Amino acid sequence: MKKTSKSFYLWLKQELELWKQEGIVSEEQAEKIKEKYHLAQIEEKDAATKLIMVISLIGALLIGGGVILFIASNWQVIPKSVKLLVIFGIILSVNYFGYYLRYTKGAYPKVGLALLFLGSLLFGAGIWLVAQTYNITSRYHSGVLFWSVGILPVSWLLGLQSILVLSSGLLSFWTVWKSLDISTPNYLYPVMMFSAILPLCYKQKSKIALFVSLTGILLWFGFGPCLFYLKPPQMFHLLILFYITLGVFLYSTGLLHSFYERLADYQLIYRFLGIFVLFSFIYIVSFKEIIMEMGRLATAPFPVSFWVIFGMLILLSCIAIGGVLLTRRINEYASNILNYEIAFIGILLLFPVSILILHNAVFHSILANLLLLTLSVGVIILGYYEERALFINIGFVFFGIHFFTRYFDWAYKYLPRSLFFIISGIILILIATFMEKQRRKLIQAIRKET
Amino acid sequence: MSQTKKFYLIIALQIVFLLSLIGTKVFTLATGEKVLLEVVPVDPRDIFRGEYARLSYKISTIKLPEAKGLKKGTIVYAVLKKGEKFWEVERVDKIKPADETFDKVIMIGKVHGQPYKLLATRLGNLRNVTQDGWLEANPDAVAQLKIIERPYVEWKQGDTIYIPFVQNNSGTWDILNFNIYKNLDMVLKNLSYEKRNIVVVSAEAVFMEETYSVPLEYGIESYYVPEGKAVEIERVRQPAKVSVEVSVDRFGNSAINRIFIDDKPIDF
Repeated sequence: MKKTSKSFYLWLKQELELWKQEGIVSEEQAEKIKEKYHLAQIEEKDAATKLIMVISLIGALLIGGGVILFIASNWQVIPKSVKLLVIFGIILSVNYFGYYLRYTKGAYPKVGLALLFLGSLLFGAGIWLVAQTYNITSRYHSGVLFWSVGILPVSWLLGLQSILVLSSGLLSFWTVWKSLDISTPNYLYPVMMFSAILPLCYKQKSKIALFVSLTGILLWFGFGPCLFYLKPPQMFHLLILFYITLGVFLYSTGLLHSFYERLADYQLIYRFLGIFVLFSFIYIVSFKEIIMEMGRLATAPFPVSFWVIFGMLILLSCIAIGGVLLTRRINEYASNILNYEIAFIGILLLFPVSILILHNAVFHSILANLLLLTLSVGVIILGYYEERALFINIGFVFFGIHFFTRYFDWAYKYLPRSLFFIISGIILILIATFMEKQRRKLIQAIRKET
Repeated sequence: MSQTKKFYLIIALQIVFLLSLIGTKVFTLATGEKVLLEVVPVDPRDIFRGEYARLSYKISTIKLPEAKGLKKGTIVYAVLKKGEKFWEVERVDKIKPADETFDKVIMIGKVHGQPYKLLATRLGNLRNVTQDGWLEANPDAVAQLKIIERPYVEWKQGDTIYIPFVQNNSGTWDILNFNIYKNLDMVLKNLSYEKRNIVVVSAEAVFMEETYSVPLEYGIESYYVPEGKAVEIERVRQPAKVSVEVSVDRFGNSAINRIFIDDKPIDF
């Protein structure tokens, strides 16, 4: 996995200008070098360019929001038919100028982009205006679906990430709203996500859209099959087991992505979401009352739907972990730490199974806390190994949350709490010793080579 | 096709889609049979479209002898027949009924809550218990006493039951539906806290049957009004009556045409 730093690009850009002036490279050669290092694309990601883009997109959001609010105010001075004509006119002209500025003339690509984004917001405003004019029922979830589907082709054709993010977010909003309203799982949503939105995220190389879409799928899972097939009081507790398995699946899918150069960029999204889901749900389980309640509920028979969903999730996670095990052999990236990662997610996958089979609250309570501790420390270590500030930061946040929760936890008596802290401390010191040893070995190896 | 052409085609399709949304509603309004429905209004807000009055119709809850196959989300066809003034549901089918006669319309609806069982008790042989001559003096109150519907009851067919009435500030009498018992002492004991006037009558449970209450919606439950105006409809309470004229097209789609308060059309 080749990584090139941003400072290198900035340096190259400045140097190229200098080389051209000094006659070291010709204009043509400079262009070729720029092309080789994708300087044009990098410039798009440049901070100043990003700022202009963000400002213009926020501007578009404000105008779009304002138009929707104006429609909501239902101002009676303008007749409804005139309002409809005006909104059609605005949709057409905003899209026209957006396209003109970004593509035809090409002089203001960012402002053009903002106008095209505004065009997609206004399409939604149009739907709500029609719905208001003709008193379509207030629970008009289909309106959100139409909005999402209507703007997707624009994103597909022009490769605009912002519209893809909007479309994906709207689709997720639609499924949650509809599922809650009619109390049935929405199976059209995953079909649309996997057949249209997710492929587009990859096609457009949009990490934000992928993040929004995966978050939407996670929400759908909770509001979809789980909410309607599992019955209270077991529902909430079983949901936790599902999400822990889902976290393992997401993390291993992220690892799989990291093995392929084309996909490596997206690994972080999967792994981050995986870690986040795992921490959140193991954290819930780490409360003594919850784990005791889970153990009690696990003795009662579960609905068949539970086993079907749980079995599928375990199978998917096993396939993903299997994929990681198979591909790591042929991959140069496979670092020493990868084996520990695989071993740990394997243990995490066994954790929900163990809760279902063993029914031992004390054991699982200790295990949950140890897993949480290992997870947060592991994420920090990963962050150092992979030079990812994000992992180091979230690792520390997780550690802090866990530490303070247990310190002030009234459900655990002083003795178990004191033991927990002492054992945790010993584990950390052992890890530090191990790391120091490894580091020394590494330095010695480098010295030998030189 | 060039990218530019494709782009304009997509935007044109967006506009065509919006026009088709309008078109279907205009078609329903223009060609549909005009049907007058009785309303009970309340008011919330909508995040996208501002204020609206939520309209609950008399035809929004129907009673059926059985609710087999009807669950939340089921699409149904309600056959409406004109009553004295308002249109009422005659029956409900899960498949679209064949051609109906000219005095009926078919409206598409959706079950929007779980149907629930009710026990309907038809009453007869009414007698004064606590106040002589009360039944004869209050024919309006007695009119409420034909059928009592409750999710569960403690009496059987043929039993005598005791029904308490309470007098409101306006002077009218209402049944205290959940204080009906077979035992008169129980009725009086349960109402010992009541400060208002109470009268108890007895009746015989002549006939009892199970019915299912099915909540339906037709997509005409929201009426959008300018900011601040929803309160005007909300304020309308008894004795003023709200009614809505709805157009129902030949496919069963419906759209709100006009709204009336005390039979006068209102316009915002």
